Amino acid sequence: MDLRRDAPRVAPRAGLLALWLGGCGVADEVPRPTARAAVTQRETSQPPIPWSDAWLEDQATLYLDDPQFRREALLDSLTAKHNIYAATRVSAYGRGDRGWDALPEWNPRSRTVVGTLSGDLAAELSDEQPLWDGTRPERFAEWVALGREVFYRYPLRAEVYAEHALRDPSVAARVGLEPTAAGSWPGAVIFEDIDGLAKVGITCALCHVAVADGQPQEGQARRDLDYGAMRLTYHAATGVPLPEDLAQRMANWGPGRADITQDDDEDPVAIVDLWGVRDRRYLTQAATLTHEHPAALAIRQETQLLHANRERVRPPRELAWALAMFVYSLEPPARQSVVEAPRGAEVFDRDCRSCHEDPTGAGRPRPAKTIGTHGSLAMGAARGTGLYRPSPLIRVGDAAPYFHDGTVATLEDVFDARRLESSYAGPRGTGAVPGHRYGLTLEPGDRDALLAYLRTL
Amino acid sequence: MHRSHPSLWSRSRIACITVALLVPACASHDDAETTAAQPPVGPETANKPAPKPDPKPDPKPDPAAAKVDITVASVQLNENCPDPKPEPSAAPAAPAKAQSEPARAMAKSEEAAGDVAFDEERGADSYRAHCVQSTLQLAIGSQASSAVSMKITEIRLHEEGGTAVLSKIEARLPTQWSDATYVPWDETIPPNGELKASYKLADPDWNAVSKATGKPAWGPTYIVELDVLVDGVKRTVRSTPVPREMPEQIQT
Repeated sequence: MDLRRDAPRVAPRAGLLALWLGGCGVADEVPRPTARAAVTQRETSQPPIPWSDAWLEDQATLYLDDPQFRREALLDSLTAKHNIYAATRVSAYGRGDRGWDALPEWNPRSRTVVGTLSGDLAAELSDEQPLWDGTRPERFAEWVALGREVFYRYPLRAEVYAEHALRDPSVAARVGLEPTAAGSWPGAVIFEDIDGLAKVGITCALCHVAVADGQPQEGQARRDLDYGAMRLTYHAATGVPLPEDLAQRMANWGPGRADITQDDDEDPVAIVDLWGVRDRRYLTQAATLTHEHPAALAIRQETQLLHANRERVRPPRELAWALAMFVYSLEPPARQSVVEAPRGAEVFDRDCRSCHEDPTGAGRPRPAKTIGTHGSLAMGAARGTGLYRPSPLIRVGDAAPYFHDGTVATLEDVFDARRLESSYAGPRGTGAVPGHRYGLTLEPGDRDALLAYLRTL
Repeated sequence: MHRSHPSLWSRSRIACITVALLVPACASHDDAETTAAQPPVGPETANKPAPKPDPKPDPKPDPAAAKVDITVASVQLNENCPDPKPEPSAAPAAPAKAQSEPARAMAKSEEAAGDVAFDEERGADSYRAHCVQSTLQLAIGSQASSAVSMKITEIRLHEEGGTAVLSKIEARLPTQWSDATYVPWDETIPPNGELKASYKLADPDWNAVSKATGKPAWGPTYIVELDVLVDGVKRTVRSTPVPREMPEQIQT
């Protein structure tokens, strides 16, 4: 989407949304308070502030009960209509009498793997009830609670690679799978699949719950997870053949990243933290989705779960909405102490704010060629938009490695011109990491101040 | 989103207004009938046998096929995987070679061939390749008063926007959604009901497809078109455009 050309299209929709909210009059943009400033206004006579918990409660019925709204929300959310991600959804989602709406709803029986896997998975599920009791939540906290269950327990798919790793603790440790102190494996579930068979599967939590000192960190990227190594280990141990070029690709992913797109391009991305999603205007590194209404995220997650399950079932929409609300609720770990860096804040405002402009540190997408980092994700057939979204910066100091593909080892290296040289030794091997030249010419004092400031975010 | 108030012109509101407008008209019509002139009362007739009622003609049977709707919910063009093996016979199997403990546990837990299963032909610690089955999902609704049979007679693959048949595809092992699971189905549509069906699909002739389109099979989008016999009456239904799925893809 060319933001300059399409700005007149975006603004009226946002203004009409404000009218619909009934309390803001005609506005050029719907105000977006930060998640931390979200106010619940159930007890007042004023309409809820957009993106507040109360407002999100009110918006649920639009997504859940209005097929035409869902269709329009999908179309509005797609930054580019030409990529595979968009085209697949435009052709199959919200079509009413055909397409994905006609699939059966799946409310699975599943439970998180605890301890070691036995040889009788079906027996481990015998007393398990379906994930959702069918009651539609009303309050935001209820949606979040249900969403947490979806996040941990709704299977994306059966996963033999994870099962193989979980059956051998030494393999699990090598590929970055670590249990909590209570012995549970976040993101790994035993479930009854849609053909009635007990399987081991994976969920959102596999990538988006880090385990540190036995404690789960919800929403934090599991940067030790080496999914490529997990798959290669399985193939090596079982003798199941794997094409050589695919094996080489998986070997190149490394910890904390994987190729998750529906094309043949080599475009692995780093697993991301889920802080501040409520305040982000664009979703995914290539800004595949505009996020002007929570339905954009709910639809993304609804179709994500549906597609991961091979389009044979779809999740109840209540579960997709709940998952979105849970993601919105995620907060980064509290800081041990508050550190100020006023000089670095000035440098940031002067040199970085023009792109990293929103409350999360993200911003409007920019042409990928202008950013100059590896372009295969932005230009790829699967989710390509020609754009990259400036990265959110919440807890950026803890988010190494950097860039969308995890090719820069440290925050210091982001602002060090030596990474442009062929001798640069990064987390993916030796070689230049071009792009994002912003900040490479800072004076040392300004550079150090900026780094100190970024570590306070 | 540029939406008016959702309840103002909802379908139910329009329907209520329409009925409200029509009811007075119907009532006035009824009133007109009741006030019309009555036929004169003639002399009494006694002992006249009651006329035999006119025999009602047999009503024509409802065309059941016309009361059945079939749509394609989804198609995934992946791979054609081996079907589950039948239950083992009573004869003792040849002793298996020694397996590692994790491999034995996985073989025991795995019941479905086509995903991963211990391959006896290849020996210990050997598993069939991870395989993702191509499938077709249908949504079927019936307002017929009796059960209706259906059968897919032909499946054709077209490139989106094209008319040429690129390849034909075989469907097998119909199942229907029941209590959170797909279970075997005899392709009978119950009366006044709906069901969600799923079929396994064999591979198209991808070489022929590539030759016909002049492109690799991955890349274009396709339309899957089915001929279906419903109570003996043929109809054709089409999918939305679908790609050929890349193997070994993990998509989130």
